[in-house]
This record gives sequence, C-alpha cells and structure tokens, in this order.
Amino acid sequence: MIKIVSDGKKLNKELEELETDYSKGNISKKEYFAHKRDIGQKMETLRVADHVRRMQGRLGSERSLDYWSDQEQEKKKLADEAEKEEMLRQYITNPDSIKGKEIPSREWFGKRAKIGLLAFIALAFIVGTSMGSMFITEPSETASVAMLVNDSAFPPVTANNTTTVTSNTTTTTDNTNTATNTQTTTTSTPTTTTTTTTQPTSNTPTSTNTPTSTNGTG
Amino acid sequence: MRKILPLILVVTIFMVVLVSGCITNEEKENNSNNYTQGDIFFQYPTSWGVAEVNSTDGVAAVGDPETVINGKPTTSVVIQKYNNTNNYNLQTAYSQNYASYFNNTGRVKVSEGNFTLNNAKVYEMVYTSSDSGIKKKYRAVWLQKGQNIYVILASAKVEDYDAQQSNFDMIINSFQAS
Repeated sequence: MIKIVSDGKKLNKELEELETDYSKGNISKKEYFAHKRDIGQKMETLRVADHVRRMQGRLGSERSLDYWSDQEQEKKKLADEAEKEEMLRQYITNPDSIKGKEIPSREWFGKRAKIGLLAFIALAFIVGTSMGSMFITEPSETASVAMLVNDSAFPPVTANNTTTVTSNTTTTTDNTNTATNTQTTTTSTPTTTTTTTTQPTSNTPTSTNTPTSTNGTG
Repeated sequence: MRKILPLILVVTIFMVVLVSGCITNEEKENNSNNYTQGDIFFQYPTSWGVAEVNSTDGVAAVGDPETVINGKPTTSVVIQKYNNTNNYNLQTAYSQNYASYFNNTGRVKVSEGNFTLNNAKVYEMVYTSSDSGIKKKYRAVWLQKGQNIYVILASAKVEDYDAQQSNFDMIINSFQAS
C-alpha cells in the first residue's frame, strides 16, 4: 500500500516536471505528449491496482490513496507517543513529582561534586594533621642519665724508680806535697712517675637532633 | 575558577602528603642525632646520649644510657686524638701503639685489619679486655684526617658487642674531622 502511494506521488512529480520542461521549451511537443501518455498509463495502472486491492481487502472503503497515506503516518505518530508514555511509566515511578519542576543540568551536578571533593580533602587534611600531632613525640636532646667514659685505645704509661748519682771533686795543692782529695758523694733520689690521669675536662658539646630516617648506614 | 580548581586540588593533595611524611610514628632506631663539636662531627643513635670524656686525649664520647653501671656506660664510643709528637704516619702510629699492647696485659687480640673509609685507608683492631672491671670487647678504628690521627674506640660487653655493630657502624661511617 505504501509503495502504491509513493509511486503515485512520484508519477505526479514526474508529470509536474514534464509540464515545467515543456513550458520552458526544454523538450519538444512530441516528447511531451509521449511522456505524458506514459505517465498517464502508469497512473491508470496504479489506480486499477488500488481498486482491485480495495475490492479484495477493504469492503465499503472508498477512500483515496492520500487518505490512506495520511492514516499511516497518523498511526506511526500515535505509536511513537504510546511508546514514550510506556517508557515514562516504566522508568519514572512518580512522574507527577517531576512535572512542573526544573530538572538540574549536568553542569550543576559537576560543580557540586567538585565542591564536595574539595571539602572532603580539606577535612581529611585537618583530621590527619590533628591525629598526627597527637602521636608525635619530640626526641630528647641529651640523655637523662649522666655518663662518664674513660676507655682508652692507648696503652697506659707505667711507673718506675730512678737513682741519681752525683759526684763532687775537690782538688787541694801545697808546696811540699801535692795531694788530690776527691770526695764522692752518692745520693739516691727515688723518682716515681705515676700514670698521669688528666683531670676531667668540661666539654660542652653541641648536639643537634635531626629526625632523619637512616636505614642501615652501617 | 575552572582552570584554577585542578591546581588547587593538586596543591592540597601535595600538602596532605607532605604533612603526613613529617608527622610519623616511625621507630626511633631508624633516626639519628648529630654530634658537632669543634672540628668533629658524627651521627649517633637517638637512644644514646653524650657522655663526659675522661679518656686520654679524648675529644668526644657517646654512650647508651641503658647500659650505665656506676655512672659508666658499658656500651660507648669515644673519640681520641693521637698525640703524634713524633710525626708518625697512620700505619706507624697504629703499629707503635699495639707493639706491646697485648703483652702480659690481660688483653686478648681478636682480629685486626684495614679497610677503606671515605676513600681513605683505616686500620682496625678488635680485642677483649677487662680493664674496666667488666669483660668488654673493643673495636678501635684508626684514621687520619689531615695532619691529625684519630682513634674511634667502640666498646660493649662481650655479650652485647655483636648487637651494637650497626650503632658502631653509624658513628664510624659518619665520622668527619676537619
């Protein structure tokens, strides 16, 4: 049925084009009448075929081809609208709630999401910093216990006794005799050398704490 | 605003990560303290403390306060400066020092050797001794910095010596003198 309608419209269009060409003088009179005759025959054929179909399938229906084409389009339109209504009914549970309301655009959703993400990050930052500051412990700069180290890599100096011998020599001379008297005195002076121990020196070291993570420097 | 927003996001995340790295409850064994006095610098464990030096020609000392007995830490490291009046080189000074160090002294040599530390040759002597009244194990590292010869003497009780090697290494490897 749709094919007959489209052919009819096509033939009408061809006829109009033929009339236009003939009026402009693009075709001769002979060609004009020849084409017109062909188009007329085709249209008559279409009309007969349509009449036969109507007599076979549609009793009492004497409508034109255009009427039926419009009916088809109308049916299509109604079918589309019915499908839309069905989808609305199926996927939107409460269509009355959105009627009259302005549905937010995509852009608005994106902006809200960004603000929410920023707020979450800022909150995580604050909470993390607060919790971390609760656990932090400052390292002590100096030991709380006083310590003294006296180990040495050098061998200690050992003690010893020394004996010092001194001698005095006296020389006496006269006219008759010459005699030399020598007196020798021996003195013993014990000298003791003890292991020197240096007095504790007060060192004032500077110790700085660097909480650096060193992994196995040794 | 749209162009600045990603930048703000990146900066915020960066700040979060930066602060998280600074406030951590990491084990203290992985941290170190710095010792600086005069021309001497080295790092030592955070659990240790600076000690008073009573050693011959001693310039610095640190010790573990957990090991103190009668005011003296059994685990300690002392830095001594060799009195090089004869202008010996490092090897000669080292050899001279230990020529009769173990002769009838009660000290027992465990090992000795040399290695390279900071592109310089150093000498090491390991021995045991009871000079302090407690049997301890000593590790003496001899090194030369310029015209000066330094001895890093690390010691601990014999049973604690092996466990303290990482702490001794921290001090020895980080030692600097100008």
